Amino acid sequence: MWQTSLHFFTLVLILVFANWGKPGDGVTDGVWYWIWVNKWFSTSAFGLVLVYSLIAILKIKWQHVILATVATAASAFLSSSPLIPMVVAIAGLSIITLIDKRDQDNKEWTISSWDFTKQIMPLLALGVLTAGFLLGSTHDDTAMAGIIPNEWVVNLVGGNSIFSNFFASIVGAFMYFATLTEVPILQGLIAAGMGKGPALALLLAGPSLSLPNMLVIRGVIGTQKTLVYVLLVVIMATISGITYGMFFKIIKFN
Amino acid sequence: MDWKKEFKILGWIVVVFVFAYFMPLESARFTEAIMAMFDLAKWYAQEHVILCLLPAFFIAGVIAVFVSQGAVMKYFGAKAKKWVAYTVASVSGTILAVCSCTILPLFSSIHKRGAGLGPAIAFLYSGPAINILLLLTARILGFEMGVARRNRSCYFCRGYWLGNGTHLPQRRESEKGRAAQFSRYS
Repeated sequence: MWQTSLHFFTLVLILVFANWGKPGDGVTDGVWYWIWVNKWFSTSAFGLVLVYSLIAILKIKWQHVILATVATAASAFLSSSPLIPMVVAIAGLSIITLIDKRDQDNKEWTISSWDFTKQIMPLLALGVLTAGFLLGSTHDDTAMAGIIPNEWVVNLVGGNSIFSNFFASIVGAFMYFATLTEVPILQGLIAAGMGKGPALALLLAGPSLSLPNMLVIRGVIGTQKTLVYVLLVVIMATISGITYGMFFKIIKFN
Repeated sequence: MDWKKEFKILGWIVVVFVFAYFMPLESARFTEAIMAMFDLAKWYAQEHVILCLLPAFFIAGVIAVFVSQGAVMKYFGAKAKKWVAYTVASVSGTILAVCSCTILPLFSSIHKRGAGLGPAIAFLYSGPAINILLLLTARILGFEMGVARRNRSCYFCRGYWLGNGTHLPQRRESEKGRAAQFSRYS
């Protein structure tokens, strides 16, 4: 059991470090900054742990694993983008597990991963296209409007009414927020007059839900259960936003 | 001939045709929305697919193939002790979520392996909601926001889990139960 855990957590840590976000602008020291600056070293370190895991735990032929590792390392030196070595690593991993003769499970692992890919990617693609068309594209320095005008959104989430909280949680539920983009988007909206209540509502409904996510969830648990889930999230976020907004109004009056 | 399915296909063909027929290409707002659509797709492809999704698919594969079904059932199963399942779901969601898309293959995988609907949903929600980014929220938007966000996310997991978990046939009963539970913690 500890072997599976090691293998599992190695992969998780590779994922975590490969995606470690940049701390806010102007941050040039401290723990978070240090972690971010060294993220690729951390990722590679865990990559080496993975090599160990593949040879010792999954018992894949070490010659194959070393070959894939060398290919990954070479691509890392040859390319300035981290995407290339990641692609090479994944391709290498897929190949060595698929041709592995010693343990059927290794092959099954890659085939199962492929099944998830087939199940999820088309829905995400469709969702991203729809979300982009309807709500526009907001990330980094880009802010392009979708078919739904920005002014409508800003008008509807201003203040602290029940409706603005409700509307904020709906927008949050449908709009796609990458984990780091929600904060700048919120800063912009608060600057434009969004109340604290709707801001919280957006934060609660935003990260976990988006149109692409809903499509995938629907593929896993069915339309009815997905609708219940979305409804519960929206209601919960709305109520939370309202109470939070009221709480602060009360504080202000003291 | 399955009429419902055939009408669905016809419906989609009509929708796409009507859209193509009436596309207001002269409208600047429309063309900006189209460009926004492609821009978002490009950004998503560049930022999320290779580093986020691909590893996540492999991790989901590990859960599906290497983690014993017994282990999943023990911690996430419908019959697992409620507080255990909820805690494990929330904590693992916290560790495992990097961007909201990575949680999807994992959710699909544990669901396939027999996780109860409640714990799986708690996992699905808490992943993106409770993670290291909470700290960033707290720093930039104010401490109260960070705390509020964490608390609400936790309570929600519990609320949803209790309400929807294993009581689908007796939905009305569970709605009352969940409302009572929720109001107790709000």
